[in-house]
Amino acid sequence: MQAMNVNDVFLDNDNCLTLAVTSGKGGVGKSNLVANLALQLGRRGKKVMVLDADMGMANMDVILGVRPRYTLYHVIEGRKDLLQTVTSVTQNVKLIAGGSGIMGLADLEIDRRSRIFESLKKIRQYTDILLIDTGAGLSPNVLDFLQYSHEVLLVSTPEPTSMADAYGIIKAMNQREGAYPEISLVVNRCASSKEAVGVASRMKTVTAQFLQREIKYKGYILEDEHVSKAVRGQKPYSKLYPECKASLCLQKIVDEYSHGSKQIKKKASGMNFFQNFISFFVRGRS
Amino acid sequence: MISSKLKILVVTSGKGGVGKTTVSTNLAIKLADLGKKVLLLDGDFGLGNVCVSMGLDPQLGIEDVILGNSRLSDICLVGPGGVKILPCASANEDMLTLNQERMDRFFRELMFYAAEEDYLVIDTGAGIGRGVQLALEIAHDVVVIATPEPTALADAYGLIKTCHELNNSCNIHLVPNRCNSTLEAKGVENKMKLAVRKFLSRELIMPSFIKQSSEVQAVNRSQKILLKECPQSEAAQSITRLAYRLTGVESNVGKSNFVEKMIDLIQ
Repeated sequence: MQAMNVNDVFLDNDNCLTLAVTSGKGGVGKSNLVANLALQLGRRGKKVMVLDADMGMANMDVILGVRPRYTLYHVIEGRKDLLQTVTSVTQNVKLIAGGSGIMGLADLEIDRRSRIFESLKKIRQYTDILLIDTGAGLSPNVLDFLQYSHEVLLVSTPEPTSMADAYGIIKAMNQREGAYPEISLVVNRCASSKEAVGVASRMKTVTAQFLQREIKYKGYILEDEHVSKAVRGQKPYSKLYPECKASLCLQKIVDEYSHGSKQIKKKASGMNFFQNFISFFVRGRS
Repeated sequence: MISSKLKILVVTSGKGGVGKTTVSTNLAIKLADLGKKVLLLDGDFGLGNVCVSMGLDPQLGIEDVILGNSRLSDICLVGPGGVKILPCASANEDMLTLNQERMDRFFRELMFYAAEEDYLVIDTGAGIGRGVQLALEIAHDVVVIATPEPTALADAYGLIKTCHELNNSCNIHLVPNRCNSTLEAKGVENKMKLAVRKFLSRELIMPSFIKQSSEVQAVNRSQKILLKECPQSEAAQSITRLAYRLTGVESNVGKSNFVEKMIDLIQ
């Protein structure tokens, strides 16, 4: 592993909120949330970097309708610098695309992952919010990106399997040593706000009782056929149908991050971030 | 090592949330209905939820076999329709960092355990991680589920590419799911077949497609079985047809449909 000055990382990262979006179960709307959250935060003047960390099955480029020349694959292979893979989506929103259908990417070795973390340092200097789409499932890849972040935003639908998997993510994070990011929840594809609150309160209760962890409920997105229509047309729904139910719900979640990001940052940086890297390196060497 | 009778059927998709577990559980139950001996393995070692989806609550899982002292016979439970189920519900990071030797040993043990069955159905997790790769390597038939969304198609292609690299003798079946119409399913089939033929020089089979059914979501939320609760729904009928096609038994379902007859002839 390359030698790295942990203090540099610590200092570099003061101004960039890092938010990892994950779900455990696939197909619950994770990538779609990331894409639309990024675009709307960008519209409000935030500089947003989207990192598609779904190694092996990345498709943020498909959702955003861009065609990146280079992807994380080239970075991991050492052929490109991370900065060279940045694709512009809008003036304020940029994308680092992941690779698709490449077996070597699916289970990255730790020193290859560390190459990405190392390169992210530079990117963070120019970014207000770094949004990481982790991909489905539970793997060392996913867990490393979660631990690297200030905040983990869980996406769950009201389906029992989705809730069980979201809980599984928290449980797996709990088993890890070192820093523990804040955990928040968005309930997606719900029939009503009441249903969403029900899901959130169940998740909160179970997590508090069995894992002694707190979850912050950040909002919900109503089931809306405009979303799948937009996906099939490869356009983000919040741009195509800004007045649809899902877009209106999304705006409330965007509020949370465009107003409240400084607070989170203050709490999350400092020792937390420093410890993230310490634990990362300790595990990397063992 | 693999007995001649046993057929290994791997249900996978690349993208998550496209209906893998719904198809594999219902397919397993239908195969059992047809008089086959079926073993269903929850192959999502990170976050298995075959049992959650059926409303079962097992005490032990594969993690206890791989990491602990349990045997497959200890963890195996008999589910709906007499399907034997090997559950997994770990959310345990140790399960994700298993070395090759341990994984191989588990799959060897599994082969011996499954040797007396007619079918081993493996429900994989999303993506193309090592667990998925191992399942693809031993498969006789790979059933790739894809919805018509561009993202699902992209991932399904990535999965098929991986499968092609790992296993050149298995049949690859494409099952479009949540289609609004036959036309839409045909569109998915044509696009995939073309890409797979052009870039991988391999042929895909489309044994059946599954229409969008409102019943599926309701059944899933109440943790019940689609085939038992709504056997007449379009989705249940499609899965039944899939089971018939995979076993090579002629079905009465949709027999009047000319296009499907043609598919039968071609296959």
